[in-house]
Amino acid sequence: MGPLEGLAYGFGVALTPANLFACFLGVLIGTIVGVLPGIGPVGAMALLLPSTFALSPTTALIMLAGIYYGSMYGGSTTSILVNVPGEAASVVTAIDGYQMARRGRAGAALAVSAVGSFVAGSLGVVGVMLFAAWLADAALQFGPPEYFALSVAGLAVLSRLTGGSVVVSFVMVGLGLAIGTVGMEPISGYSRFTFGSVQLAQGLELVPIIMGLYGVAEVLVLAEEGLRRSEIVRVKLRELFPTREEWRRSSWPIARGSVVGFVTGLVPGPATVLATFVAYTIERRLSRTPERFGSGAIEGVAGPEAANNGATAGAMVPLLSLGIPFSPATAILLGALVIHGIQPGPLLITNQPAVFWGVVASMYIGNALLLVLNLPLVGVFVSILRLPQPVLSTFVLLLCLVGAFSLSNSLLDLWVLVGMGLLGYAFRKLAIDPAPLIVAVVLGPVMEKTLRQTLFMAHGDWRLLLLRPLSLALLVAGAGVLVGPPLAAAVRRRAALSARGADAVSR
Amino acid sequence: MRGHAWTLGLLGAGGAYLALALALPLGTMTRPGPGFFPVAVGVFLCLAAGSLVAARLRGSAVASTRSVGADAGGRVGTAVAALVGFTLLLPWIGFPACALLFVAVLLRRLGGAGWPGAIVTATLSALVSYYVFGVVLGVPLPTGPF
Repeated sequence: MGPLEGLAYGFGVALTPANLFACFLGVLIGTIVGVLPGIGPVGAMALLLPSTFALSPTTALIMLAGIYYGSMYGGSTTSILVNVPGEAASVVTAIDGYQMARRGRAGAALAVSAVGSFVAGSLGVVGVMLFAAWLADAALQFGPPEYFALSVAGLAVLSRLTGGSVVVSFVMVGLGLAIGTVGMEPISGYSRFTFGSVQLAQGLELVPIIMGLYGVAEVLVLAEEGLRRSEIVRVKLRELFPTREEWRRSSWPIARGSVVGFVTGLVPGPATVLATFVAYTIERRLSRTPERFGSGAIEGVAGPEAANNGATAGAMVPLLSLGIPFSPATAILLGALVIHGIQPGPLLITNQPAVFWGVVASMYIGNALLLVLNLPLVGVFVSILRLPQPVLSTFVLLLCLVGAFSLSNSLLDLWVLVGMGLLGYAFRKLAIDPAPLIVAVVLGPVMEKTLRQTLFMAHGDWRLLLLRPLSLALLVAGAGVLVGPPLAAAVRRRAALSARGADAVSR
Repeated sequence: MRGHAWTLGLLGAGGAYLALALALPLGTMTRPGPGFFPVAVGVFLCLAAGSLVAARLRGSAVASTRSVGADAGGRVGTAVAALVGFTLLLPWIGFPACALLFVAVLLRRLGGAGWPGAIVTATLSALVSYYVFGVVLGVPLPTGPF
């Protein structure tokens, strides 16, 4: 099936009443989640995953993907109007967006942000359509060594790009891999780290781990901070029209942000957050008047807002074409596929065209729905912020508990949720990002299986990983990302020292 | 010393995991056993945690905690106690009663609501959540002795 044929088929799937409603519900929940500081898209997706069990796999994935990209729209609303980013990918938008709001241009900032998100989201879906199908074809040539090398390289890049120390990220990866080994070993059925517990033999579920690390931990942080009151800027509908000059200044940043976002989304790591910083830096560098940035430059809203939406589309490519998630959000989407009995990987497009093309087409529909929802209803979404934080926190915790229990009606999942919540709270206090841990929990079993298959294939000779060109290239790329920056810094330091030495001698 | 505790804790956890992994059948390079990958993970975790301890001892850039005030600590403590209490009591008193207690305690302690308001909201929340999850979505939530 070619891309256009596939897309037409996908629209047929996505436009059925059930899928259309799932798409609407997903983007609506995504927008609300994006508006609310406290529960991010990852927590919300984990929270709602159990409620999708009764749905078909396509419908479930359409709804969960809608939450993911919908949250990027909602996040910008509170960044601009309240200077409170609803989620991390909207932090950059607050810099110039809130300054625009203070100067009475909140409506223009919201409109440019929504249109930019729509353009980037739609262009990103074109990228997914073309790139995922091509990559899936190429991935059919992958063997166990390539999959192992890809997982190792992915975790290496993730460790480098997840803010803070690489060593801390390595510890997170180690913890995630260790958690992934709990339970019955898939090849021989040997029980590992179960201490005789039948429930532990099934392994630890991903969803309570994510709910704990993100949802519960976030509520505990909010409980610590106590009540917060925000001053909300009011926006009238007629103020939502940017001037011709504002459109002119925004159009190229939107185009650049879309491309930067999509490409960043392909890279393992906190793609949506990273994309906004990259886009903001590019716009500032390219601007003839960089001094306007920080005091209400519309380019500083347009570029990052397009970039975070482009990144959500880019992040779908490795998931849909390789079956490998490189972020916690796509790990949940992978979890949804597995729960619904669908084997993720390069054969997904061929074996499950309804899932792949249905989700791709729903992303076009979702982006259009988001544009319609977000501009006229901006006042309604912002009024959600008036809900008292403790009431919201209480219900988020109750939903986490019910959601975790409903996975397999097991108290073990509740204990995992509570334990991970405490761990996540400790990580938040230590400013540690748990993303590498989550991705390692998902990739651990893949790595173990493919490593053992590789060793079996090579009669115990691990050098096979270095003898196959693609696996070697992936390992070298991973190592390069890890070692490159400190090496470059050391070279620069040395050059600076020798230049200073030469100066001293010439004097 | 307090600042080093969490890094030492991670190293301890890594060491314990490695010790347990070493008790599993390792197999050979040609036919790796169930312990092969966990041992590799354990070694990696110990090396990473060991580097973290070393970095911390050298005082290089590793995150440190902010202290928590008594009132803030109390709110966090209440939330954690409510979560633990819910998990412990669920099989004994069932979901509706657990949800009622959970919501009432948190609304009172975190939101400063009065007991009557907290109990009315909690009763409604327990009934609605039981109806949505237990009845509509068919989750077999324990009902307890009631």
